[in-house]
Amino acid sequence: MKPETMEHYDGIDLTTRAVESLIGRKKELKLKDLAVTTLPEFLESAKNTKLSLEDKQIIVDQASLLIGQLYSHLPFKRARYAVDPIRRLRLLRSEIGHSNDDMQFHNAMLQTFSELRDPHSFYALPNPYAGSVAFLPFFLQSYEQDGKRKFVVTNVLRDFEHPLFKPGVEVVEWNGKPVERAVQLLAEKISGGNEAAKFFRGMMRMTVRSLSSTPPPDEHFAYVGYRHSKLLDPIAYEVITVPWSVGRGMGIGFFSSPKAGICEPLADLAIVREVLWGRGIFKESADQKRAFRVLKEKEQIENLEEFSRFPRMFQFQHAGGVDRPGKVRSTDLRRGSKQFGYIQIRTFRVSGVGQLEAVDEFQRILRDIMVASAPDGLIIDVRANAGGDIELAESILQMLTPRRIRPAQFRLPNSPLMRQLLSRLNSVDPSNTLEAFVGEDSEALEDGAQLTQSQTLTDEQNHANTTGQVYQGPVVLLIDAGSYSATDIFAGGFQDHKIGRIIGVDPNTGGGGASVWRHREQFVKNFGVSKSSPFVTLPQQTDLGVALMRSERVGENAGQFIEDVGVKADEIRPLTFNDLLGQSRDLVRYSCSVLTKQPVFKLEVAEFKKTATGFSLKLKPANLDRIVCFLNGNPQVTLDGSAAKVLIPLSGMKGIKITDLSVKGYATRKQPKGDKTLDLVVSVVIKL
Amino acid sequence: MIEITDGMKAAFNAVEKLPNCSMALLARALKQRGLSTELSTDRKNNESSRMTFVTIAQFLDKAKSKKLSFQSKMRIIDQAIVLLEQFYAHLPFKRARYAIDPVRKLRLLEGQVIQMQMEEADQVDDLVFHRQMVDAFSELRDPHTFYSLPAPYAGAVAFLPIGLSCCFDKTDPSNIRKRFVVTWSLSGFHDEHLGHFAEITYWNGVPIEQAVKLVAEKISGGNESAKLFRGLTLLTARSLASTPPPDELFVYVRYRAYYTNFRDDKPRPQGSLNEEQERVIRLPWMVGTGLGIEMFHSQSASICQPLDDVATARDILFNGSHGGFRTFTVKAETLEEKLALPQFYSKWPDIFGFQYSTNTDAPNNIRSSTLRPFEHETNAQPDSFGYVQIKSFRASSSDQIDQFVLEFQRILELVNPYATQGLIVDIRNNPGGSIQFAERLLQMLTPGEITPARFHLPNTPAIQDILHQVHELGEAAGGLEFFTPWIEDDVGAAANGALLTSGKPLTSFEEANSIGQIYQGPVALLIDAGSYSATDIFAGGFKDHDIGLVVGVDSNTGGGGASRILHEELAERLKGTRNSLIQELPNGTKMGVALLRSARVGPNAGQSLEDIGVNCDEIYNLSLAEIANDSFGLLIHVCRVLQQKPAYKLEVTILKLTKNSVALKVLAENVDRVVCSIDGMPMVSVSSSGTNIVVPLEKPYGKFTVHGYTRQGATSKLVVSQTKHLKVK
Repeated sequence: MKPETMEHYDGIDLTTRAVESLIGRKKELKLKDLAVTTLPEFLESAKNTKLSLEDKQIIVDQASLLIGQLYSHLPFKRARYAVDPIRRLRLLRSEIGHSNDDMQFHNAMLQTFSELRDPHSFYALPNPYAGSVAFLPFFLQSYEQDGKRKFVVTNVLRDFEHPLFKPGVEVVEWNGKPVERAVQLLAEKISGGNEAAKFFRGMMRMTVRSLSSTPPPDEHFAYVGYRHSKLLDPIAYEVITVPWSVGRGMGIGFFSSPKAGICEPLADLAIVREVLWGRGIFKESADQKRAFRVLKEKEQIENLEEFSRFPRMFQFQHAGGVDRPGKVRSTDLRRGSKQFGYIQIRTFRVSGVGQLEAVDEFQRILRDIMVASAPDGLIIDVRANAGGDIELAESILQMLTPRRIRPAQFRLPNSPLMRQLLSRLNSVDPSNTLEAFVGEDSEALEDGAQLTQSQTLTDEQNHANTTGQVYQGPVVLLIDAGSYSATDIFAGGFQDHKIGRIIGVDPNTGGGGASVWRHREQFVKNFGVSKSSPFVTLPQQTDLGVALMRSERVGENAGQFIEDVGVKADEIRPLTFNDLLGQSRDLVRYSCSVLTKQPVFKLEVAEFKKTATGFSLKLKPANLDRIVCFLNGNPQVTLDGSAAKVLIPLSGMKGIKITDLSVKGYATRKQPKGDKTLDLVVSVVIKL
Repeated sequence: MIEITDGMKAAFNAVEKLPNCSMALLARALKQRGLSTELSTDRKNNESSRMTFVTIAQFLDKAKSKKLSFQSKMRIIDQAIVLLEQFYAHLPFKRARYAIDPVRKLRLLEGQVIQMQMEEADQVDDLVFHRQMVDAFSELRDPHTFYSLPAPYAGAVAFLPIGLSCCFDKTDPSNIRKRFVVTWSLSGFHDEHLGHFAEITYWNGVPIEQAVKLVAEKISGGNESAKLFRGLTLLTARSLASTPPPDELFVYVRYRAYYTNFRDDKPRPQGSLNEEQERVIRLPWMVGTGLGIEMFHSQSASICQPLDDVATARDILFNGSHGGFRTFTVKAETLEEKLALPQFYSKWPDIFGFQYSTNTDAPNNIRSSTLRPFEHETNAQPDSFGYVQIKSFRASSSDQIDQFVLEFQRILELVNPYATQGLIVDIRNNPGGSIQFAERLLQMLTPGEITPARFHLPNTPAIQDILHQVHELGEAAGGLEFFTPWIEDDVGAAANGALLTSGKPLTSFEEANSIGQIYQGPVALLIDAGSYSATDIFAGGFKDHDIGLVVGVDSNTGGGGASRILHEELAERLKGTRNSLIQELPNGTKMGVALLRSARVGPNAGQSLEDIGVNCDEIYNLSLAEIANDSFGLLIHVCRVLQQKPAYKLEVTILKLTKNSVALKVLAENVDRVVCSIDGMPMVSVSSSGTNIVVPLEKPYGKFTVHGYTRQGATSKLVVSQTKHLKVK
């Protein structure tokens, strides 16, 4: 046995320097409360805040109430994972008095919830854990090469000036373990309903962890074995020791909405990434530095041709666009004469932005930019979108398809407490998301089913189908296992309405098929903490969340759940090294090649006039076989696919107020068996 | 800035030196397991059973195989479900205590296997399946009930070149601090700084105490002490048969290289290092195979197999390197030499060890001066304490049990005259073995009668069916004879819907009381969380019969309250029965299940030992110096406690034995009344000792017992006894 040589570098001083530099820039970052300590210091100081015995009892009792009575996935999770959370909480309740160690209590609570493998349902720790983030001075991401997973450092903190350990180096060993195994082990400890989602979440937490609802890292420092380009021996690697730091004041916090579907920990991590990297804390690569200047936030918003009004939500690019750091390259969106567009929906979280404003902004991007600049196809990227407002997600779908959108269906747990709450709701506060569930199915509630009848959360008429199709070209959707919750539902809708192909860098989306209610924000607010209420105010800053409503898909997959399984991609295209370090370059190019193969249909209403007998329209169709015009949803005229103008008579509709006029284009398509069908491929809606 | 030393070379240098002495060690390992040494000669020629050492990565790479067919996996899962559902006495209790559903978990695994088969997915490494099986079992936190991997995992032990112990820094009594120190190292392992008693601070970046907890969580024990104990073992050595291989290929060990002065227990920095300076060494996980580790079979076995396996491996790998400095006055290095010195060593040195205050010091034995702790105290009477260590209850046959019981008797008789003030029985780190062996020893330490622990079968349809068949077969029950004691439960328990059948002893009352008291002074028992299974039962019996004080270096024993049966043993017993659910396990896999749940007797009657163990009366935190020096502080402390206890004595001399009577002389100390009985029937009662007594006999043979009572207030208490078996020639 030959001894292996080992080069080692102690990265503790470098990290200290980088962290000092980070704090020095807190004004620039607009984070006045930003503070960073080492992990051991943080853990030591955390010992000073204690929950009393009564506090712990309240937490456990409220958790039992929420999971036992108000958790829509309970019977499914029991069966799928052979877990018994209620029993576990009861055990914890009996053991609370045995230990004075609060961290032990928090860990037991976290474990109970993580066993449900449902990031919607969570226990949130009090201060100082709440709002704290543990991080290493670099980011680690993974890609595939020749069927093997590789791990690469994609960023290091600014002023972490190591001659060799910098973006692009491959990480092979993590605290003595092969790095892939280290990710798997971490993933086991946190929620995730399927293999891809588990791995994704483990990966996200390798170097950044929100301490609000995940346990702090066990290790105080990590021994990272990495390979750099100067190593010639194919199995040699060097080791660097890097300490964990804990930051506070990074602007993370819980998102609240009556129709929330979000993975909070992931959403928090996205914000932290923004702080650490997006706003310039992480070094830009030399290449970027040379070519571009980082735009100030204000400049971004004024420059609406290049940036979204809500840059945290949407980012876009097209074949004729200007290249900017962090953006997909415009050249990657061009294939021959064909021009494609790219829109990234980074979150459906609408804090600080109105839901309607967000819908309008998406419409603006499509209408004002993509229709003209990306006529041949559009890439919608919802990778790593942790969700947010379900209504927002479902309101966007219509703009990409000629079809009418049927929102996803949701069901409540059919428990005695749920029935009680519903009946009380009826008499107290009718302006509630639960309202739809009240009344008509009170009989169904008695029938012993596990869940109530289903309802939509998004109003089909007033939200899901208000604008109709805006972008008419072919669309592909990019997903990964971090596309969670509202984004799962978005992806499900995308697939169920056959909007386009779904390309996954993972086999499926994250699998969060539910709407979450939080203890403080929803249950206590709606039902109070009076004597007649089962809810009790939670101590300190602790909180609980539970997947109150379980979603079901529509269309061909009607009745299928999203929870745990997610939405399956139509094809899988694992990330490459180029994707990670070159703005998803390979993935975007591949998506364009997929779009290239798809037919482009077009139907433009060039002129629109109201006459005494009806409506006169000039049309510009392309690739259509048939056109049908509708008034208030009634088919009035059918035309040949190449018709350039039409007069829509009011016949049969006289005296009725016409509110909307729509023109739909159809194309014949060959079915696999040789039959031909006429498919709806494009539509234009005009509101009157 | 901390430098990292690469310990890879040092570690492999150390194992490279091992094979030189391996055959002798292997022979020894086999011998202690009751296997003949001829077998070891066979092994010498057998290439495959040679001791070999590789890195964990090499081992796992070589072990990769896709041998398990779909049918094999299904059979394994099916048999696991049968064992847990039908033959596992703890199932309802474990379900309740840990909020788990192992059967459901196995069903889920079955679903996965079926799905993989139907999707014709590329078969993955067998280890993935094995891991899932081990996971399902380890949730039970019950080392009796296990899934064991086939070769090459079976018989393989993964280890680091060092081992740790937990001790307490007691230099500042107001701030007693837990310390984790190196107490084992491979004999050839040399590093400039990482030597014995180096204090470990971080383990792969994780604070060491947390690291121990984390590993314990995965393959844990039923209570906190057991978790810590097993965690500490698993951290540096693992039997790969029934515990998953370590995830790490290396461990980055951060430590302080203290040199500790054992007189004052104050740590001092070693060499040029200052006190706070820490160092890091990277140590490789290695895997040893061919160490002669084999699964222990026995009627009514109760043992923590993984602990036992690791102990055996340590015996071989770390021989002689386990902490401590001893005065060597007698040279007896080899087993043969030891056996020639019966006053220093037991005939079975791997089962028993002993020492007494006036004995000569010998290597691998505690110092006799430890048992003379009060020499320097002015008004102390001559110290005379004894110490007996029971290292294991492993016994492969009933003949062997008889021999071991006799050996214990011999040791006690040897120690008795020199240990008038008290005896320390040490069962720390004893992973168990034969329950009969354990229970038959108790009588020799106490004047009263021993009631053996009771054992319950799970009250399941399969057990009912078996009992029903036993009932029908009567005398001809054959392999089912084992179940005969519970035969009445055939009807009774089935009807009452209880979780368990009635409780029956595994050791007969006669066997448990055939010898009677041998050692007459006060006795104290030393336990730790490694006292598991048969040893739990021993400790339970010790406490339930109020034999003496139980002192723990942990708060309780390991908590294994059951008798285990191997799948193959069960198959053998149920051979030829109707509707047997037991089918052969494929691919060399093995399983064990806690078939019988134990219940305590006496004041704790009915209480279970599983998960909880036996609580000690007093806890003692060992310091580093004590760990290094045979727990001397603990022994001194226990001697002090024993010294406070009254010592009783009863010496019976048979003067004359005829067909009709026996004449004897009784010499007693601290005894107010002496009662002679034959076969449990009191015949003569006299008020004091020293006189000649004549006891009439009804038959020419019998168990003759003399009991000594002392008055305590209004009642008298049995304090000493002696038993003799009479037989008139």
